Amino acid sequence: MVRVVAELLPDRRRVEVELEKGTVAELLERLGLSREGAVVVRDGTPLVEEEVLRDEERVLVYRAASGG
Amino acid sequence: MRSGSSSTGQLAAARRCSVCGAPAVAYLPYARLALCKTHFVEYIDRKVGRVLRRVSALRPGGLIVAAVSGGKDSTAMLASLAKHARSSGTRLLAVHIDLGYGDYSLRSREAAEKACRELGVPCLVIPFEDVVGVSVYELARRSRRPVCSVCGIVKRYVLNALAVEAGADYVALGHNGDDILAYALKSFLNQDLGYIAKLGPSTETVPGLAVGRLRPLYEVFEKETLIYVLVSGLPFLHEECPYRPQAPIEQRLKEAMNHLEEEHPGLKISALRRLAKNVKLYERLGGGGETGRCRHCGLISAGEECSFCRLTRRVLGEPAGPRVRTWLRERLEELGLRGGAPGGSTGGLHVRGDQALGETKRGQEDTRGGA
Repeated sequence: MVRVVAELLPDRRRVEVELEKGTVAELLERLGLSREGAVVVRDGTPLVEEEVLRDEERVLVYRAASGG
Repeated sequence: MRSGSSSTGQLAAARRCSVCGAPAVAYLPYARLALCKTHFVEYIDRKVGRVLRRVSALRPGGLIVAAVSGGKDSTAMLASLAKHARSSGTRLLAVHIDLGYGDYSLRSREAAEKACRELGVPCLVIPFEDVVGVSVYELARRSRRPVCSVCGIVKRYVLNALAVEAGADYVALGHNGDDILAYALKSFLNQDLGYIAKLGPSTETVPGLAVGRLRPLYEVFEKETLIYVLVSGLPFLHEECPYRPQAPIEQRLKEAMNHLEEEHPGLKISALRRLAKNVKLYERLGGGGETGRCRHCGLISAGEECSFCRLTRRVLGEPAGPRVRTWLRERLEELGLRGGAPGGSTGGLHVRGDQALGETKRGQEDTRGGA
């Protein structure tokens, strides 16, 4: 189990999510976001879908279809 | 960021760049490519370059007006366009329309001006309310029309008027591939085939009346423009406009297309390329439409009065098109950019963006009133 804190943008909503495998793809699925329509960012760097998140990690989740 | 007591520790990068083996920041299933920061930016710049060459947008001494909102798409568009413009000797003028939507517009303008400064592109800010004497919101309220519809009329008009006055070759817009597909699908559902005809990588110039629109990000998807600005370290505003409807249909169409793309990688890029090939066909199917000249401002119009002059005449008692054109002409003269014929002017354009060209002071009060 990996617990991550995701800050959703542009909503500025913060959610805590518990993940089984802890991948970026799993996080997006849990947030109900398409992999094609969102970007998960750690320390300013975008992550690919297979990237495994660390326990207690905070990431930014940008919804791409916003704020164009 | 807390490092935490991770059991996984510092993991090796999940994917490596297909080109150089460095950690990847993006995987593009439709291209079967994983790319690091450097090669991702190069990949997007190449896509933009292909579109620009296809429509012959670049030429030494040519001028492109780039519309910048401060958001991710137009910022990515400007950054990539600036590289191609520089290497080809094409002049570039960024333009930001301050729509007067309170703090949102303030932050948008700050982001746009900052990006222009960092990219070394001169930026003309057009404070709409100061120029016309009424805010976009007020125009919408008094004409009993949706803000988005009035905002669209205002932006299209002002950008075209500026480009005509400057003698520009093109007005570059930040529409990305997902935007184009959503507009095309929505138009198809409405059977507005004439509008689909306008959804190619560029539209045609009608001399003296309208400057063609250019979409450098035609084959670049929304997720890619976001990654592009993030890895390029460019300033951008990732916020929703306060007047955006809760769930615009374009948003739903994008989501549906993204779900399909996950199941069928390549669907979106193929659809875009086919659309680009077929726009002429839609033009015939849509009946083309008459091109006239507005009797007030002299710019393109479907009838004898353009939609901007009609709207402002009804609300203000007189059409605002001529006033907007005069204001723009004066600013362009200050910049040494009064073009007339394409390529007709030379000086001024290599000034840096931080010279804050053409700004006027404006009240920054929230114009939403009692909404």
